[in-house]
Amino acid sequence: MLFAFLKLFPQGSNKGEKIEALRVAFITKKLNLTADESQKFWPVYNEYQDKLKASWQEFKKQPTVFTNDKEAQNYLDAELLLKQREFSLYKEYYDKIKKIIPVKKVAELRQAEDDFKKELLKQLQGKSND
Amino acid sequence: MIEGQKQYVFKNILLFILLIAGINVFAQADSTKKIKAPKHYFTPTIFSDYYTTPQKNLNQKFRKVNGDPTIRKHLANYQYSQLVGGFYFPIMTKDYNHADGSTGNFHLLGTGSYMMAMPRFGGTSDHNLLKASIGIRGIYNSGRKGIWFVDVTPFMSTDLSAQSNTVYRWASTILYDYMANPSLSFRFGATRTFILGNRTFLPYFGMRIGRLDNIYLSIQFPRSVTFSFPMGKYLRGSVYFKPMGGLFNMANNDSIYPKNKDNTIIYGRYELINGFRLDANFNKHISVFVSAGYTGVKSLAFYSQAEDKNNRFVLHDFYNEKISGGLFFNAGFTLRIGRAKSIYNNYNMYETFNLNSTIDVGDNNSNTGDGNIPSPLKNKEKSNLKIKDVQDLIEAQDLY
Repeated sequence: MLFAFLKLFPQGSNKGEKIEALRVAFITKKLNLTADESQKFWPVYNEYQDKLKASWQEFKKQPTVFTNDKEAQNYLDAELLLKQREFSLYKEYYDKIKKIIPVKKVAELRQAEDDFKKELLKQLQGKSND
Repeated sequence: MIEGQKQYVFKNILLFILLIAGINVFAQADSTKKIKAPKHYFTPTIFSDYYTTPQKNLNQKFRKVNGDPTIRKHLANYQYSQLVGGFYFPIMTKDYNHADGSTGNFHLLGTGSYMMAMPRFGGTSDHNLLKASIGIRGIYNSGRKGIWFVDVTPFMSTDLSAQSNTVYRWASTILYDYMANPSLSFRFGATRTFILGNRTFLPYFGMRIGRLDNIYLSIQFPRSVTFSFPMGKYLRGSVYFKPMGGLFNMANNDSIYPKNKDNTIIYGRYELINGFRLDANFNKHISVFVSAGYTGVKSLAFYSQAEDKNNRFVLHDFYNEKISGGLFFNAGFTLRIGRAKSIYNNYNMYETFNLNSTIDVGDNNSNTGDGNIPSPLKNKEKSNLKIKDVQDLIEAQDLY
């Protein structure tokens, strides 16, 4: 019963929320959207991120220790499906975003996403050196 | 048809079939429709809070009393506490992608609540008065400037401590929210409410200055006036004043109203409370709050059910007493179950959440808080991340 109760409140959600909030803060600062652009952009971008997250979470359900070839094959299939979904979502949502904000800002968004990852890596590297 | 042409046609048909099959296989593998992303912005939510005030003597001569002074003697003193609980859950959520690129949405929520009002009088038996509601609310967020809100809350009220009648009433609110920008919004509408300790039909007027995820002042007549401010990452403080009250059926077993030999009378209470509230939002799912302050304007009233039977508007009391002010204490929690769609920087959704919490489920003017509105993070908060927290975000090429 306790297990069922705990399942209602997704584990690790605090970390996920924190990273999301950091990403949003980073992108907000880099993109410098107008009020109108911001109002249209964020609902679409949030939806894109929700679908990406759901795809990753589904992939994470795959066992990472394989006792037979079938399990290994299932893992590879799931990974391929994940990559295909990531690409399809990327195409679908960047097409939508291009209709909302100028293409220059879309390119800046891509850069901001990459810069955010680099920033996180830098932080982690700094920590491991401490 | 010569032999070469036949072979050519056959080859092309075969290629076409293979191409279609290939597209189908790719399409199936590529489908993004099967992704199980959250469907709703509002998740099933459960809340509860407890409110109490200390005992007050009713024989204070400077206080105004309307009605039979022997009733005051009979009641002797007065103490009040209440336990509120409730829930809401999404029945339907629909997104609308407008041609101008904005995203609107409609939310249909089922609501339910109970309230156990526990007035304690020195000269009467204890009464536990139940008010329970099942309702529905619809919120349409245009994704641009406007949000429509409609709530209908039918409820019943009865005395669980002694034989009494049960009455069915309904509260309702309809309003339009105009959000000029994330820092300024106005609300106009009408409300049928019992929070002023009687049945009232009132206009609704609201104004908010300041962003909901930052410092803001919100004036919402007749609900509340709130000045709210973040206190770090998890805490939010508010200074507020708001009315609290209701109408409850109460058994007349103590003969508070001897006329007509009614077995049930109506107990009404009204308080204007001023206080400080501290909300702790541990994450999107769990929030708790404590609040304390002073109830400056406070009154209790009794109404005759028999004599107000045909009255469709404000009820006429046979006893009404203003009570001296005092301290109050209020504490509660909110649990939000499951995953919701993300709303980062989506100020229309912040406003939608705030509308839903300001006009509370059950018309008790308790407030679940806005723990589901993300608080903006500062750059320094990256410090305690670990590689496993961010591995989804990092691809092999990021390392080179």
